[in-house]
Amino acid sequence: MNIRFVLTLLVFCLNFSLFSQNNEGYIKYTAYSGKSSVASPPNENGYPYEYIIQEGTLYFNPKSSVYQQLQNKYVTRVQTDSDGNYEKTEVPRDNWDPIGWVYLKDKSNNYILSRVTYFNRSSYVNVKEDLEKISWNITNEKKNIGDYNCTKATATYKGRNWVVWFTPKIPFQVGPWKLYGLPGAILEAYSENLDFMFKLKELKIPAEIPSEKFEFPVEEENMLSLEEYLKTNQQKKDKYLKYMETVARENDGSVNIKFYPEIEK
Amino acid sequence: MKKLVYLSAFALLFSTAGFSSIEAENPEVDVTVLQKKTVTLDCGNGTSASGTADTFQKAAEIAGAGCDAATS
Repeated sequence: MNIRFVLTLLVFCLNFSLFSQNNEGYIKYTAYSGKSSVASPPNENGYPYEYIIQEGTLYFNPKSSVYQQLQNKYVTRVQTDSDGNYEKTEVPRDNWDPIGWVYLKDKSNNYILSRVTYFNRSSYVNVKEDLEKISWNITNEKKNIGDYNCTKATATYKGRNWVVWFTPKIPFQVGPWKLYGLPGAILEAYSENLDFMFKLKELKIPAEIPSEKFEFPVEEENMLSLEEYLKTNQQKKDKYLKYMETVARENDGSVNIKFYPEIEK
Repeated sequence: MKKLVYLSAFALLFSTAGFSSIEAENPEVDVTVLQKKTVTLDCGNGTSASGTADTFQKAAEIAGAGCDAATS
């Protein structure tokens, strides 16, 4: 009796394990964020002229998904002057962070936990918000991305107009950043003005994902609400502008500051 | 008639003296326009600063301060 029970339990555990593994996967994206700064103004079409290019990975299972985007270890510094000199250099990032940006979407509990930076892309902060439903408009347009036939969908979300391509062949409602909620995984996404783009780099389904990848990588304390985060970010920008005006006055000059586009408005 | 001639001559003399006086008060001055210098610095940290001042050094100090201040 005991042996039969143990064997049954073992078979169940094995099946459950296989089921779990078959329902997990990852998608790697190349993530582009436009600079559109004073040093890198938009091109003649109004789209960003230069991008910061990073790698992001989306881990997913039926219950949740985690998108992690790593910081580059180097930053590109551009210096120009009114004599026409131009210098572009790669310099090591002083405060490189090994975790980077993380977005955990928990569908069971209906929230998103985010580890994000303020405008300076250096100081990290944790944010908790409700998992807001995205009103997608699914079109009839199709295109192939890799081996997958994808359908185009659009939505206005977090202050930007998004265009995405998803495939029902991967039946998970997942996507990069905070994008989700389509009947298939999003393999490509971009904001209409191309400030932000996510393009498929690699995917593997099923894949064995370490369980810690589905956990929020830092302690869930000192969580800000989204409103608090956006307010603090604006306060930090205002403080920065004031400081820079003071520096300019002390040097009998003037200053022009431009912030990079932010994904969430 | 004679009175009119005297009056005209007096008026002419007065206006000439007036112009001479104005010319004396406005001597030619050499004006040098100081070209402001601009340095633009994008540190890759979320902001880009363009400093303008009398010298490149000051302009660079303004722009460079942006890199440090943004990350602090």
